[in-house]
Amino acid sequence: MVARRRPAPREQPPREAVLSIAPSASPAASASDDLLRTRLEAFLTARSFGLDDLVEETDQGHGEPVIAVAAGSVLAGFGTHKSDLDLLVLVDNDRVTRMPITSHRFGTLLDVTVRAAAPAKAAAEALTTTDWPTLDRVDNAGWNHHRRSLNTTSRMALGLPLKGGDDWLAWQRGLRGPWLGRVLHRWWVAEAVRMRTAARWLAPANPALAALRARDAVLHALHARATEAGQWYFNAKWLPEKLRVLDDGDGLAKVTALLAGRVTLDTALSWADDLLGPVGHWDAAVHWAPGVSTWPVDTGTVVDRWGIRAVQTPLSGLPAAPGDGTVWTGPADAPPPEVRDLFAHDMLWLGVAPAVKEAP
Amino acid sequence: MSAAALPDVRRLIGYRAHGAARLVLEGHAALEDVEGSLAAGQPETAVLMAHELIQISLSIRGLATAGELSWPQGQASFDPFAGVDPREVAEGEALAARGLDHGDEAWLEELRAHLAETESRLGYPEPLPYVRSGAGMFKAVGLVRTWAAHLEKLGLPGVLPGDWALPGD
Repeated sequence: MVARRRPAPREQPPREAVLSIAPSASPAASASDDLLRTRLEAFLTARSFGLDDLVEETDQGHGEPVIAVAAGSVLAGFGTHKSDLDLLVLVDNDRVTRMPITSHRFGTLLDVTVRAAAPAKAAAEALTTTDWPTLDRVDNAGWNHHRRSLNTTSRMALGLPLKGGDDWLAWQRGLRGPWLGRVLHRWWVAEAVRMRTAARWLAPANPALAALRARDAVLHALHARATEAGQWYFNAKWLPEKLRVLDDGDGLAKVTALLAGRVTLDTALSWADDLLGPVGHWDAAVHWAPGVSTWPVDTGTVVDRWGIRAVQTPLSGLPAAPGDGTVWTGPADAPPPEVRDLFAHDMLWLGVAPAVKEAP
Repeated sequence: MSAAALPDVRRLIGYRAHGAARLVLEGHAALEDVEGSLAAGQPETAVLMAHELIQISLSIRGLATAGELSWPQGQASFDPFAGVDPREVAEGEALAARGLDHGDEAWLEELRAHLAETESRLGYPEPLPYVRSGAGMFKAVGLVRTWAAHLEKLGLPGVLPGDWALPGD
């Protein structure tokens, strides 16, 4: 049986320094609707279309939108001639799925995301009240739910309203408060810590992959810094442009060095440490990755993914399949070697959360 | 390694089905990101996405031997280089990095050629569809139908993101 350490009860958990940072007022978040409209109209004019044409695309046959916004890199000011134009539409229809809807009406790809209004509103509300990350919310499903909530909510908040009722438009404006910067910042910090943890776990067995994850840790830590400085757009690929807008020469130099392949694993980890600062101790919770099956044998357990890759571990008494529980929980900087080995074979999902100090 | 002769039916079908899906869903989008960023005077973003493109391209090549079929967002242990010759990895990463100093049309052509080589190894008789065009989406649906039943029979993951059919949350 793998040693497991359960976190202490979550009443009044002492929050680490990382979670108390309050991002400053945001130039991105406070970008006026006039500026957003200017960016959007420039994009549409270049394609000989107007705002009215775009509004028509908000009706995708799922019901009358309660609110629709234009969003994405074009509105964030980073768009290129290859950029998609994104619409986010909320409807009173709980049967819509996550299937992306695309249109080519404007001579460019138009991505229309339609979501049920009530769950989207509830997810935004949960972001203001949920204590994330905690170990019970960082499995694969919990992590992805939180990511989707941030993506939808921040796109709605930073988007340009195209149509909507007064109540929904007021709700949308209310999303643009400092709280959104805080939860976005918290995400990037958690991701930086998670990638830093992954790099350290992977380093002995797979230094090339460890280097990729260390690079990710630095990039995510820079996202946290950019978010704190007001760049809230939640899309990882635009980090260099965020840093350029912020005149963050040090950050841009770090990105360039990483992309040039001039940074060693140790240096990247050192940069990640410096950028993150005093984030306190973190715990890890690992679960089986999608597609894992387990086969108890006399000397441990055979673990496979999709019946196409397999590894034997000396561990026994493991959860049978994904969703059957935690494989191991404990300090992120002290994984058992067997757990680290399973991780290096890409059999585990890694989640992290600030350690909750044991009650005296 | 030829896609027509792999030692295991799961590996062969997984490679051809998931390789094609990853290429048309992820590879083409990454290439467009590189092209757009470069044209817009965003060189670091172009190279960042070139690294992404190379990782996608190499991860498809690795599916023929040891690569992992599923690539869920945030899977920190996913290795895009699994099953790929280390020399190919080094060449690919060097190609992406070269855009910092030589980000021009010739560099773009080399990136396109990298993805084209990956596509040729998959062994499809026709060019894979371009799903970011209207007509390409319909062809992609046909591609999905070709493999869906086989993947399900073998217990392998489907080629479309599994959560697309779920309600938004």
